[in-house]
Amino acid sequence: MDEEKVFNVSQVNKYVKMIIDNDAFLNNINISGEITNFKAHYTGHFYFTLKDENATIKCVMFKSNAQYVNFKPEDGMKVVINGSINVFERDGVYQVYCKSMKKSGLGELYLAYEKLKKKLKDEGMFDDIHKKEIPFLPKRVGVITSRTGAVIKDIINVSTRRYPNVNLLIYPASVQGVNVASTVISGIKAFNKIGNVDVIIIARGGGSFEDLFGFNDEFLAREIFNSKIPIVSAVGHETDFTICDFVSDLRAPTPSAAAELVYPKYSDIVSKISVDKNRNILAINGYLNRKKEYLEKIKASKLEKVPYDMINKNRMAIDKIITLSKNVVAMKIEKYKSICEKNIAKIDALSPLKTLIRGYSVVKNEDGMIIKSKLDVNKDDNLNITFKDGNIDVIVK
Amino acid sequence: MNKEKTFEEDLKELESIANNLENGELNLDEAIKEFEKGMKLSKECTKKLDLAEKKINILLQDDQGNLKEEEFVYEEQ
Repeated sequence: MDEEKVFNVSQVNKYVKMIIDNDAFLNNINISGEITNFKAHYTGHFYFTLKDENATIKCVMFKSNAQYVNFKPEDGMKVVINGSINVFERDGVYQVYCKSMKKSGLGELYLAYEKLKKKLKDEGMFDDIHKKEIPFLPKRVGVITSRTGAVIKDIINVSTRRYPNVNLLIYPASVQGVNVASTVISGIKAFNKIGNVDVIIIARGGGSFEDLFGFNDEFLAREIFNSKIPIVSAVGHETDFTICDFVSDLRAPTPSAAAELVYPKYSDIVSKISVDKNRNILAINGYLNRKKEYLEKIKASKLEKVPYDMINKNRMAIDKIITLSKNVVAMKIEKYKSICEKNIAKIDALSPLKTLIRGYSVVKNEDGMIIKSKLDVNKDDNLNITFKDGNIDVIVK
Repeated sequence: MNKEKTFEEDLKELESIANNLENGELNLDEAIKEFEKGMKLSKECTKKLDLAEKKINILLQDDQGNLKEEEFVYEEQ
């Protein structure tokens, strides 16, 4: 036997690469398949796997080509790609370098999902009107998920961090494969039968469309819809949607987020209680102080001040009237006094006494009549003459 | 007494009492009544909050379909 030639790995990979590079058929090839594990890298490149029922092939599409794809590729989508097959020497793997990508009808699973989604939606099962309210602080939370793995650990950690005295009841379920729907349904049934939890979380970590497909089950959807206990769905991560998410009362983007949605922060509640308590105390104190002030005001102004003001006001009016009366009376007195004086002067001027003073006398007969003519006098009449300083009796000759 | 009020209802009532008192539109008797109710509620809320005990159980089903609770012990995969 001839001595066999031995090659190193690099040589082999280089040789395979050379063979493939020189194969015109592999340099420009169309491949149809279903996208899975699709990743749109932030650099703009696409990385994904193309598969059919029996096999998978790795694909990469660089930004220079990816930018011309006029739809958003996602898992489950059936596509036809054009490109070349190249060997990555370092790893000894081959992959498709895609130049273009076209949709070729949707993947079977995806179609089934869309069909069920449309059916249940048309029945109104996703309507907000059916969504039950999630209790603010649950007494006990039912968690339907795998008893192992990161999901239950995350839920326990996150909920305990927010609210130390959590009360969780875990129902172990299958979250991948053919038993997903049946075990999750059993969990919902069990919780509804015992009735010892006031909210249920259905949780599963992220995965491909196929991984999560068990949650796109019609029976499961109906069980969730009919549950008397509100259900929070946390199946997959952020962008993964399942029928389970749509029909549940609340959808959480991740299992950890579900724990946050279900359990309020202990410190938040404590501070809310104490804030409201203090508001109560402050408000009642303020209220009582205002009442007290009001009372003081009434005492000061309305009850005491006003009557005094009124009395004083009336008193002033009375004083004014008295003064006015006094003045009027005084004026009247003055008026009459001057009239009197005038009359006295007049009387005085006309007084016979004045005439007597000037040397006239008044002669009266025996009857006291004043004699104004010599014809009124006879001989031997007794007359009386009045002078300024007295009377004398005389006899006429 | 009918259905026991939930923690959230208690908490909301406490808040609305605070609002009412702050509005100051109640008469004196009502205000004092509300205040006493508010203080009682805040005590009850705190009590309810601290009454809860940490418990993490797992619900298991045997062959006959009977359910029983056990303390949950996390096992690494």
